[in-house]
Amino acid sequence: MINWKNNGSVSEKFGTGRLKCTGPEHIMANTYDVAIIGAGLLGTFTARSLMRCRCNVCVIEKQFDVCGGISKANSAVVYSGYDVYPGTLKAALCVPAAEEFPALCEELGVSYSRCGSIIVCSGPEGEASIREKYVQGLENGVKALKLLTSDEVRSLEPNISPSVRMGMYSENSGTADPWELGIAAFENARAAGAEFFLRTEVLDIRQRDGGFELITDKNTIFARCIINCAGLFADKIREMLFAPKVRIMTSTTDYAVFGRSSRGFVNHVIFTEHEDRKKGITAVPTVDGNLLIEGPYKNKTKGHESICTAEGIRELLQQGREILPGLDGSDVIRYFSAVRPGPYYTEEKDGRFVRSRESINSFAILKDTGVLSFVGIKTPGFTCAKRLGDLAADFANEQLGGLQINKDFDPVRPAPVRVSGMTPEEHEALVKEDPGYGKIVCRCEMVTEAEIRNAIHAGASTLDGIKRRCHTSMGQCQGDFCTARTAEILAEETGRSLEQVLEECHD
Amino acid sequence: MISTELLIVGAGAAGLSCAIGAAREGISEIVIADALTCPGGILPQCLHRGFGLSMYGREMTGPEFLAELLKDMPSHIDLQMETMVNGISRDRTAVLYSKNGPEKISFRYLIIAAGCREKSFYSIPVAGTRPAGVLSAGLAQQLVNLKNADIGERIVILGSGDIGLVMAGRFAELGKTPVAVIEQKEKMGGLARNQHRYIEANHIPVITKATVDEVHGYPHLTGVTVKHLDDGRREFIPCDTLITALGLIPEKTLAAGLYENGCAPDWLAYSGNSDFVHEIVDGVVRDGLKAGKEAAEYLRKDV
Repeated sequence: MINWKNNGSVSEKFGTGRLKCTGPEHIMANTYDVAIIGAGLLGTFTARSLMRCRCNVCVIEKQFDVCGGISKANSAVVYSGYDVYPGTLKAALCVPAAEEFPALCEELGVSYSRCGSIIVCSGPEGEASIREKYVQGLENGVKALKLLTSDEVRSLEPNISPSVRMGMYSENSGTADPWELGIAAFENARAAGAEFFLRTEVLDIRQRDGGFELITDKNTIFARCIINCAGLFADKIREMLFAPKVRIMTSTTDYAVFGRSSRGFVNHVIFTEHEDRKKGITAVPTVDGNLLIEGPYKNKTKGHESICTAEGIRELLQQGREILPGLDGSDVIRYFSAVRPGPYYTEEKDGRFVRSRESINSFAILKDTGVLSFVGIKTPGFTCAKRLGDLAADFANEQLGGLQINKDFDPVRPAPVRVSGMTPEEHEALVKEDPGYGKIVCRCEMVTEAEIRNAIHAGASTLDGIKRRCHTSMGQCQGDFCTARTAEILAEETGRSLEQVLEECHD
Repeated sequence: MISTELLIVGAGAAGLSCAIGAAREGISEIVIADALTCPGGILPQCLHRGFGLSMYGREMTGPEFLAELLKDMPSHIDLQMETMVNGISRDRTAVLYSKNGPEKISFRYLIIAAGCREKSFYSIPVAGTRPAGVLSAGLAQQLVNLKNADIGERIVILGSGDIGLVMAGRFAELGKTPVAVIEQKEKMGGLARNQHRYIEANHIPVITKATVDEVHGYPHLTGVTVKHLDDGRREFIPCDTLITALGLIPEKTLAAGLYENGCAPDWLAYSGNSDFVHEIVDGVVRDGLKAGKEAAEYLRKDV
């Protein structure tokens, strides 16, 4: 049960007893088959995969909500797999993952747009690179790839610059709701019996007979096996037990979200290939009908925060306009930044561990006895989240000596009710059930009070958590009109003060 | 489906005045729909004085001005609160969304009096983190004045339009520290009386020819970088709250789908700040009364 600072009515509301957020009074030794550290996309999907077996699983997350780290900001692009090197784990996972992505979204009630992608270039080097990717794609077994002439690109995407030289279409690409995927895996895993300890930070891990002792700021957990999905902190977690092997260096990428007037500006995910073979901007027609531009600029950072840079934003707009000349910066409704973990192999020099080469071509997954660590999973991590979860579950199964199949596991997570996009008849029926569905709180995205309460009951405990679950404050006004009311509902539901809710608006 | 002669979107100063103006001209069927719980738009959250000087000859607070305005409201006007208008179509129908569910309404004349929204801070290319503690002036005013929320201690205000000045003064009144008002133009903006009353009287520093180009801290704001536009100098100012008053944008999106070849239908009008941003509410009311009268004239002809 949730235990807030001002413990109130919320405990009853969370009723299932599966979502745990223990307070200091609950200090006790909990024993699990598997402890997953981190409840981002990988942690939630690992938990979900493990629910296919009979085992006790807990997920330990230091933040207020799931998917609040690396998973909270990305382009949500599903890569078909022509971009990854043949023979690598990335290739082995990405190609089938992209093929099965629509079915996965269907199963988990997640919005998905199978819009396909087009990669374009403006010069000979770019063309050579795209042609190599075409061959690479074929080698990887990517289906439905097609080279396009400049005219073909322009007929599919009229807003692309006439200077485009050629391109390549890939059918098995698309884009999903970036937050809903992890949230759906969390809800599905929790419903199947995985326990989530939110606001609980792992401070130390010790080897014990037959497993590990995880000391957190709230309790001590004993687990026979650990899956380390700690994102930006996965190296630190691993080094609580083992000598350094891969360390994470963070970088950030800037993003611009354009308002609804940009709907239809591009019809496919657009990638750009530069003459220096560096990745250019990515343009994504989001599932919500916005346009998202991911910048090309990589800004190395020291900390773990997402920090926008002036250079990054400038570069994003400039390169964006080169390929999409009609792009209008005044249509931007929000600039934000995402943080990425770059995995670097380390070697010992004079008794110190220094970073050597970056692990680019394959995922950095480290297997130690009883512990699997995902250290620095980035693109195409979103596409491969489920497959990586399966891989971790297989590892745990092996370590634990073969688990029994859980025949009762139901992989279906019903999609949350969304008033926006409903017919008046459907909406009317819903309002009869609960008048809360008639009270519109967020006018831009048409989100009702009932949807906000549903999101809170499903685990949202911050304004950001509500935003990601029901899209409040994601429209034109960016929350000016709905934040006060949303905060009030959250305060009421969780027994916190308005100030506390506003202060703790992030994860 | 319900039907009315005149549908007004928004029950703020503009919408109420439109209704009063149309009713005075003999229009009997008037529906006003508004998403908020109480009529008045932003008037209830404007606790400062400065309303009504030109219309009533005395300075009132927002709620006092609203009370005066409501005295003129004829009782036959159908005021539907907690009701959002959407799906306005060229066949002169719209959908009213309320706790009773969606309901179609047909009308003969439509006035959009939905006010304006503020330009949002992160829609400009600002560097740094996206921490808690950054609020638009309108949202801050709503939280402080209507919800009694305590939102911060050391406050930087970006933008010296009237709403920026009013909020700076309000924080001073509440015993908070308005660290500075930042203005990109050469001179402080807003009405002279607001400059005097809220800024000069409280000795709040005003930094002109400057902007905030980076925010710091996560999860909570710890400070902002102020960039001086004349010499490019950048300076860090510690604060826990940033109030942004970047300017107002008339709310016209509701009727965006009604235009054909750039032309609006003749049964559609905008009033108040949805039309253009007014300096004072008295001007909004005067324009609203006129728009109401024009609606009545149209309705008399269109039979």
